[in-house]
Amino acid sequence: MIAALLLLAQFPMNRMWFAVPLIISVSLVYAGTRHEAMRPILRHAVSCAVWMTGFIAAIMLLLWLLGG
Amino acid sequence: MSEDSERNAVELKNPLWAAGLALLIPGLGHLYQGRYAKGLLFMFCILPTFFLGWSLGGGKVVYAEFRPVRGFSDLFEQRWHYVGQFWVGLPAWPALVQTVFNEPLGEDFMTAPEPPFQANEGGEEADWIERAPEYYELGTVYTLIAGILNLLVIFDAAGGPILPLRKEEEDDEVAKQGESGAAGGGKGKSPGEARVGGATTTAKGASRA
Repeated sequence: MIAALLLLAQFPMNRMWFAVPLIISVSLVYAGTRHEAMRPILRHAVSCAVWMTGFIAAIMLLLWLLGG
Repeated sequence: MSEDSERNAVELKNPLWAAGLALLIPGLGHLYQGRYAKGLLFMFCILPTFFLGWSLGGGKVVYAEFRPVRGFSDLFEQRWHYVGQFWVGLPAWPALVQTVFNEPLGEDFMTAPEPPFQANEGGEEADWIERAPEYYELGTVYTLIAGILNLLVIFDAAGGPILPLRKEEEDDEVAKQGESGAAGGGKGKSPGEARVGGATTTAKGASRA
């Protein structure tokens, strides 16, 4: 975990902030089309956001390893 | 509201009318249907995403999509991101209007760039990109994603939510169908009522639409 955080610290993180609004809106809208009530929507949105962040981090790691 | 209670009937009113309103402004179709929480959620997710992208790209990333077509070769210079951006609705449609009438709608921010379009030829668009080198493409991505998200919202307004079906619910439904089939055809669903995922959705006026 700490090694992963140290690895992330090597990336130009300022640019990564632009992904945050997209992840929030995509996960909320995607979850919103799956459920009707707010609680399941928020629960689904959180899991969706975590999944997307993990996926992006994995791709970043892969690109960093290939480019390194 | 619990997860069980969300399986109550969802009032879709006139689904086509709701889908049309959702296409005009994200979330408007849901507000018309009385699904206020979802309508506001969609509105406050999609419109800020679109306008954030629009502002990151200096207000050009949507209205620059359709370039003036003065010759055959100009057809290949269009930016096809507009195919996704279109679905945001009214905020993106001035670009289409200015293309159809071949006239810019605004003094500056709604106008398409003048040719040449290639960056190495020093066209107008190259100047725009130079002013905001990274943000121009980033703004294009934001506006494109906002449009694609509203496409999901339009489908939700027309057909209701897609609830995840659990295994036991599926088994239950199969058993019920088997029982009703054995009873001689079983009960039919009332007009305008449909099962979407795990939810029952009602569409008033669907036959009129």
